[in-house]
Order: sequence, then structure tokens, then C-alpha cells
Amino acid sequence: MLYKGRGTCAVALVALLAAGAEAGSLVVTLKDQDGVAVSDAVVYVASIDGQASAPAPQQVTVDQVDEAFVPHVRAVGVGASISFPNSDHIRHHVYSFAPAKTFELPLYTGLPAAPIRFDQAGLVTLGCNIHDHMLGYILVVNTPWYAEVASGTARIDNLPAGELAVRIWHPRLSGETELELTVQAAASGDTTVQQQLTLLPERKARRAPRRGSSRY
Amino acid sequence: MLTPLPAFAQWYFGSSTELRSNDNVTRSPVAENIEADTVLLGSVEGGLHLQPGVYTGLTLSAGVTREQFRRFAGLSQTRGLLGAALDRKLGVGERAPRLRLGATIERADFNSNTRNLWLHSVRLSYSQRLSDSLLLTAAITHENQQGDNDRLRIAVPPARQLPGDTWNQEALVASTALEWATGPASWLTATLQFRHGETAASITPRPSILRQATAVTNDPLIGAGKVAYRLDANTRQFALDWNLALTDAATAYFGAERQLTRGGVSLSYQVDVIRAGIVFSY
Ligand SMILES: [Cu+2]
Repeated sequence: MLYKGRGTCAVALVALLAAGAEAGSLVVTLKDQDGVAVSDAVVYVASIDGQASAPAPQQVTVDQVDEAFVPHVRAVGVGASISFPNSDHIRHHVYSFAPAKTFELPLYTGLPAAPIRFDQAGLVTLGCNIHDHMLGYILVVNTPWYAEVASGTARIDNLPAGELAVRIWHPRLSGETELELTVQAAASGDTTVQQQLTLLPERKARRAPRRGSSRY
Repeated sequence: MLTPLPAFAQWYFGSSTELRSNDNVTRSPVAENIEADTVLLGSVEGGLHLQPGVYTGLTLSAGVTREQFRRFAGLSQTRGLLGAALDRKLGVGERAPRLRLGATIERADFNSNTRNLWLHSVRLSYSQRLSDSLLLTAAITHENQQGDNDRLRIAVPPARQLPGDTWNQEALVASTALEWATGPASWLTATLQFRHGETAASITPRPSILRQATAVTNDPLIGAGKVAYRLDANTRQFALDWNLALTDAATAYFGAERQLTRGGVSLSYQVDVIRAGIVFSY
């Protein structure tokens, strides 16, 4: 599964046609240190030949199902509006204290009144004030070229040829917050990249044993 | 199937099983009376968590615990517990401090009926996550227990007349616990506890000890001619447990605990406990 900003691609394509250039695709395959296909990563092209582009605004959702954010990782372009429906029966209270976007949606079920706009690039960590084990991520990127990685692959289409600054983000990336690669993109067809990521082990919920004492 | 709940309410359920070794099960201050035993524990607990507001929660719980002693079968006990706790969160998010005021009523039924008792407790706790890997909890608990058999015959007439209500006790417990994540699925829990109040222990009658007791009664369960006495004492307790999350629902743990009790004049005893168990929570 991948996500692409539809409006964005149209804009980019128009720009490319105007410049008379062709467009290709970037296909990234990610495996972890054990050779297992990686999910919940984000791949994006920060710049092409040193030139950054702005994304077009879009509307997406981050759902809450069985006390989990779905998807666990969401990539959006700067200016995106995200709605946070709650598909569970129990009320959730979504919050973020991230500098890129601080917000709170107090106790609710169903669909909150209005989506939330993400105007700043950066990582937004989501939590629920009622269920501490609920954890989700939104990576806000300032580029029209990005994709969420599921089952090990991501595909970004309509890329102009040139030197791509490709960045890979994963919530459990060991050592650094992002991996940066320089990739020479062909004018047409697929440019493929295979990359191994070193991931930290997944954190499990800490449920403390409740201790009663023997009576005597 | 459970009935549908309003959107501010949620069921929870948990169970645990533990194997425990206790090197001084009779709490004896005298070497010749020290007896060790192993205990197998099983418990189930369930309840309802209500979240009427952003900062306020209410938990209603009920649970049953069975402890089976290998040698001192009379100490084997079934405990039923009902509880209610009011939570107040001082802010939003995982790092916000929490206050919890809880009360429980517990019934302990022993294989040997002489020890059966009711226990009421009220507990106020404060907990705060200090970092991703550190959680601090401090609590104060008041305990009051009433034995069914508070008129048992006094076995050894001491110099002064002692009541027989050994199992009626009152105590105040202050405790603090630090939870430290040592890995993505493991953490250590260190607990420090100070208990001030009445406690019971069993021995072969000795005037030097019974002179300091506030109640005494026959304790045939521990052995012929033994007595259980009550005394005012202070207990310091240190515990260290290592916990390993096996799945999102199951946690295994392994730990040790030392209790040092001091009461009256040169009267002290020590209890060491080693335990291993597994808990499930949903
Ligand atoms: Cu929630």
C-alpha cells in the first residue's frame, strides 16, 4: 500500500511538462537487519538537484481502531488536513505535544468536528490521554514526493530526473532519526533503491503485576 | 457476552499465578521456631473502568486469590476483594502526575478457620512518569483488620492479662516504588515500604516475648503448644522484581523481598521471600 498526494502529482506533472522534462519513478525496497520487509517507514525526496518543492494541500485520516492509531505511521505534506475519526466504542482523547503541531481532541467517539491542519514540517507523536499504550506518528514533510512504506516497498511517481536527496524515516531507526541517500534518478522508468535499516526492537506494553500480600 | 457499555466505560480483566518461597513463614524471632514453606498462588481480577471526564476516572474491581501452602496447609487461604478507586490526573498525557484514592474490603478465609478475617484499607497514591524509562509511585495506606475469633482462650497466662484478639490489627503503611525500563520488553521494579502498627507472629511461648505482646492466642496450626501473639512493630520491606513482557497481555516476573520487623525490646525477625510468576491482563 502506498499513499501519494494526488493533487500534488498533477501540479508537479504540469511543472515538468512546462520544462519539457520527462518523469520517472523511485522504487525503494526496505529490509531490516534480519532481512524482514519493513513496514511503518516513510520515504521522501527532500530535494532534486538541490531544489525543494512545496506539496499541495490534501485531506487524509488517521483512524483509531481497537485502541490503536491506524495507520501507525502517516506521512503528509505540509499544509495537509488530517481528521481523526474514532472507530472504537470507547472514547479516546488524542493529543500531541510535538513542536511541529500541538493539539488536543478531548474525549470523543465518532468524527471530531473539524480536521486539524499541519502547517509545519516535522514529526508529530500521537498519544491518547486515556490509553497510554496508544502511540502513533505523523511525519509532516515539505515535499510533494513521499510515500508510506508497507510490506517493504514504497513507490514515488512523477519524479523529474536529477540528483535526489532521498530520506528514510522509521520510528525505531537505530542511531539516527533519518537516513539520507543520494540517488541519481533516470529521466524515465523506475529507479530502484534497496536499503537495509537497523531497527531497534519493538517496545512492549509494561503491565505491572498487581501484588497483594498473604494474610497471616 | 458482556452487555454493551456506554462510551465512557470499559471492562478489564486480569489473572496471575505465582510460586513463592518464604524462609520464615511463622515470622519467628527465635531460631528454633523458624519454619520455611512454599506457596502457590492463583488469582483472577476484573472490573469496570469509568472515565466520566478528561481528568477523572473511577475503577470498580472485584477479585479472588487462592494461596496454597505446601507444609502449613492451615495457612492456605482464599481472599475475596472488592475495591473502588478514584483517579485524578493532573494534566494531559503520559507524563501527567496521577493521584488515586482507593478503598478495598477484603475477606480472608483460611483452611484453619481461627484466622479468618475482614480487612479494610484506604490508600492514597501519587504516581509520575519521570522519563520514558522511569515511573515513580508513592503511597500511604491505612489498614484495619478484624478477626472472626477474637475471644480465643489465652494459652499462657502471662504476668498481666492479655486479650485473645490477636487477629484484630491496625497499621499505617508508607511505600514508594520505582519502575525502571531496562529494555524494550523488560523492567525492574524496586519497592521500599515502611509499615508501622500491629502485627502477628507465632512462637513457642516465652515470657520475655509475651511480656511485650498486646494479645495472645493458641496457634495449633503452627504446632502443638505454639501461640500467636500481636505486637506493635515497625517493618521495613525492600523488594526487587525483574519483569519481562512476553506479549502485550502476558508478563513474567522474578523477584526477591526482605522484611525486617522490629518491635518492643530486642525483638526482631526477618523474612526473605523469593517469587516467580506470570500475569495476564486484558
Ligand atoms: Cu484512548
